[in-house]
Amino acid sequence: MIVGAQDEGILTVVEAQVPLAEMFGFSTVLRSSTQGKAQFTMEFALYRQVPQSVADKIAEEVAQRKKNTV
Amino acid sequence: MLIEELILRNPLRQLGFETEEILPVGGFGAVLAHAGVGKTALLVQLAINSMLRNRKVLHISLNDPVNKVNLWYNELFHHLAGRNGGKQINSLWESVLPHRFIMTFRVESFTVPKLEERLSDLSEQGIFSPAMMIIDGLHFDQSIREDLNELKKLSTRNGMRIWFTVHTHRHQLPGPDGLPVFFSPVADLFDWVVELQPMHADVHIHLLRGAIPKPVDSKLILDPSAMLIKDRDTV
Repeated sequence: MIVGAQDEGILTVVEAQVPLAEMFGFSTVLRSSTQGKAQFTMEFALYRQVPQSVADKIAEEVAQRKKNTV
Repeated sequence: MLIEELILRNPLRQLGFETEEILPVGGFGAVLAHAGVGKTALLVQLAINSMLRNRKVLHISLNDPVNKVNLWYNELFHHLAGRNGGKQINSLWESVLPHRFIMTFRVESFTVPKLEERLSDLSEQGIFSPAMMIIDGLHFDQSIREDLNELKKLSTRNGMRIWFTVHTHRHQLPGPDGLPVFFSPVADLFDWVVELQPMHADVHIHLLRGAIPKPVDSKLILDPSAMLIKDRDTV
């Protein structure tokens, strides 16, 4: 979710809250989609409950992993 | 259910409005007050009401960074909801937050074409299309009429309403129409103008221009402890 955009002269700072799991590979996506011009930093914001659909998927993956290791 | 309760506690009800918008599409509203009296607080309450009704709000601040504007929303929402809502209130707040987008500019670099460009980027990419815009901190100097005309065209084209904060000064006496002298030349562009006046421990809300469904304006005050609108009888 985008919280806001802050105008800083020739730059714009976009502030957003993102699940950490969605951030893997973001660096490459950001660089390639902005021709290397954009950069980002991230910091921990808060813990939040995983949506039910995602929770079901995680449970399924864990169950699958357990099954494979037995 | 909780949303309905919060809408019932909303300042718009105190102003006599139930579900309809105060401003028409392309309409302008202004909140006039000295510094620190509660202009931003009042507009943030109107914004929260819109967000609860699933209407998107673009908040533009020319004074404060994104984090500070965000804090206004968090504080006022939790005051409005009461401190007892707990988890339910927090999840409701998270569900209405995507209806708000904060944009900040340095006051000297803010121009209508720049805003229009940013707004087009957001709407063309399907990120955000606001129904209401708040512009906090715009300087109402002699050249402002041109910008306001452009903003009116922009808001009409995009089906928006715009609310402004107008900073008044203690040393400037109001004109014969009760409006600040610097504001009178552009007052014809505004459908709604309210003024916040500090009186003793309260802040009184006076309607200077615009129509309300029932004459309740003289009873309205802003509670300075919570910065929420309250009926004078209930305080």
